[in-house]
Amino acid sequence: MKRSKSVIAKIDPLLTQLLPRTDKTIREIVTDWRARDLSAGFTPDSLMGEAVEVQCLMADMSDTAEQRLFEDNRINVLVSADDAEALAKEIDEWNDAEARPLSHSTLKVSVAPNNVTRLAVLENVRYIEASVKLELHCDLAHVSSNLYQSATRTVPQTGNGVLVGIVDSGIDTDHPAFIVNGATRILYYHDQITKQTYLADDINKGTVTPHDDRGHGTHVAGIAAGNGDIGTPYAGVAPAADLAVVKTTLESADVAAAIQDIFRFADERGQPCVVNLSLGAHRGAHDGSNVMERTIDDLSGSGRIVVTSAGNAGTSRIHASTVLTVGKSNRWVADFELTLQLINEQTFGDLEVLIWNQHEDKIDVSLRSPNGDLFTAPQQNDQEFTKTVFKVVASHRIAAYSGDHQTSFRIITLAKPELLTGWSVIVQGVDVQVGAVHAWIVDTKMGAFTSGNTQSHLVGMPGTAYSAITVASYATRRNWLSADPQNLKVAYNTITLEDISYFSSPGPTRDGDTKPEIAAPGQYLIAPLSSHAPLSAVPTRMRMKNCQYAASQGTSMAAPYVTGAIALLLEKAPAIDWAEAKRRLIKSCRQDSFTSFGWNPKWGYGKINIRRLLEVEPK
Amino acid sequence: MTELEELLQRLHSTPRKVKIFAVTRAARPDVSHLQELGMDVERVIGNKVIGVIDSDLIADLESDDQIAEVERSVMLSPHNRSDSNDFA
Repeated sequence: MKRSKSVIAKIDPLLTQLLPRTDKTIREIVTDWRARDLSAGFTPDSLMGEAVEVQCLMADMSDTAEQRLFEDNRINVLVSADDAEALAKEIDEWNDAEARPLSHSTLKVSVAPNNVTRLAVLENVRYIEASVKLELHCDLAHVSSNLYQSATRTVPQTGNGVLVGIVDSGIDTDHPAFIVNGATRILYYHDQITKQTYLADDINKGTVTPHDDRGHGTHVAGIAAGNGDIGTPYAGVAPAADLAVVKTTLESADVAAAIQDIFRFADERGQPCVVNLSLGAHRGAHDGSNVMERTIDDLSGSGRIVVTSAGNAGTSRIHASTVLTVGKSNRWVADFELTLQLINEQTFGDLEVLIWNQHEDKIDVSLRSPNGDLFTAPQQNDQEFTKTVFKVVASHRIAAYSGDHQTSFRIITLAKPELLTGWSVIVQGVDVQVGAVHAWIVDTKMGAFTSGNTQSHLVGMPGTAYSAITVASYATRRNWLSADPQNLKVAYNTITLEDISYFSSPGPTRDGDTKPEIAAPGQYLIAPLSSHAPLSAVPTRMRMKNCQYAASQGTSMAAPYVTGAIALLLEKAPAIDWAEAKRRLIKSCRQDSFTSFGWNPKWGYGKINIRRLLEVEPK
Repeated sequence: MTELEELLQRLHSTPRKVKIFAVTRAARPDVSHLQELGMDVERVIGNKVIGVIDSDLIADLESDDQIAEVERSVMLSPHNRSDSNDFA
């Protein structure tokens, strides 16, 4: 039967998946589907055809509904009609359908899938909606973190009286997740680009329209402190906290200034405050001694806590290290390759590698090019070497704070294939007392080590700041119903729930500090979607169906989860400092077969357990 | 001009003014001294001063007796991750 467009428009897209496309009955399709080996997860083959369409719908059905579909070839639908009573009488004349009016304009109808179109053809019918399984009124992450049990919060704290600071890409001030009774919960908003500052009154009057044209900050703020809104289960961890937001330039100095601004605002209001930083970089010493990181230490204190993301370099090859043998002259080589970059229609190679060694050691560091040229940094300052097709800038510094040695090489090459591979860092021990040598390529976009690389020491700055609480990510969600008709049911079944996210950066720091300290849900979290976020930043498949929320992943998402938890803790104990907050996080965290016991580089001390966090007794 | 010189010229069109942290040896920075050294001071956090300076003047700042340390402000990246690894 050929279906008209207007008839199809009356049918929920979830149901159109069930409209018969073959001669098979639903029972045959389901039997065929169940006969497949799905234990290995989705395969391209299993994702094709009617089987997956049935599977998608069934994933959103209750067990009872699934059984009814399988045994009776019937599904329940909700029908919007001009006259529910009249429509019910008409349907009751069919032999294979039942109708029950729920109001003057809605009915529950039990019908065979191949009769859905017949139903839609009726003039009385306005719209047919699938009856889907409702989720508990909380997100999956909240169950894993023990913030919710049986759809109820396990703790009385909501963040009331606490200021949550977000230093990020801005925030969508119009999103219902940040508005209560018509008033904004954003008490302070500063834009470092326009240098404008707005207070809650400005936002409530609508005279200013600060927004988030990237979507990152809105999502992050919603995880920490979104209040959810009617009809969605996606409330943040601290839904009653006040918010202070700085839209940052992303420069480390400006981020430090933003933290000071937010803490000053908290001082003026006499509120405890936690600031979230879901950002970072791989420049610097990786031991917490960067000036930016020490500024965080200076600003933190009683009722002033900073939470940072560990980073997403978990699978990257940007770190290489060795320990030279003490007392001997020995040599270590780490090879690397460049990745071509395209900026302003210009293609080229541009890579910077930093090599750090302890102040106790005397070590010679040099760079070898693909054609065998050797470059050595001067004792102090910079030296440039310009060849026909590439240039090297070599430098050596003694870090003022630690006394450790930093050698760096920046390579700029023409886009020639022979110049991209075959580069090496060569380290020669001269007088070795400690022997630890670390090298980082400062950005994954620049290139990667091809030998000598190790999957450790990948927490960047400011994640290595001594006082900051640094957060790893683990998985709590792998599917959702999206707004994309081509990917209605997004299902990433290769993700192992409750396991560490593959991208989460492992520690420790270069000086052995136990970073990250804690892991939190960060893959995938559903949180507020900025109305200004472009599709390039948030594709349709990541956007939720029927609400202004989106799925996203990253340690960016895990950090605000802990930020929200610290807001709850500060509501209970407003004067605690970062050291006491860390002690309580560590004492209360959850360890299981994924995390192992004690600290480990990927997980820190374990998974956040919010209920227990709030039960830990003061020291 | 060689191909490399052309590339370097395009890449070196970076602004001469750079944002830095300057850490002073004294607990309370002498802001006017920093200004004399060419730094436009934006704010002071303890003995750490954030400001903007011409890149040519950084070496002088680093060698000044009152300055313990200079760190260039660097760009940080948001730590969200695309689903490209999961989305086939």
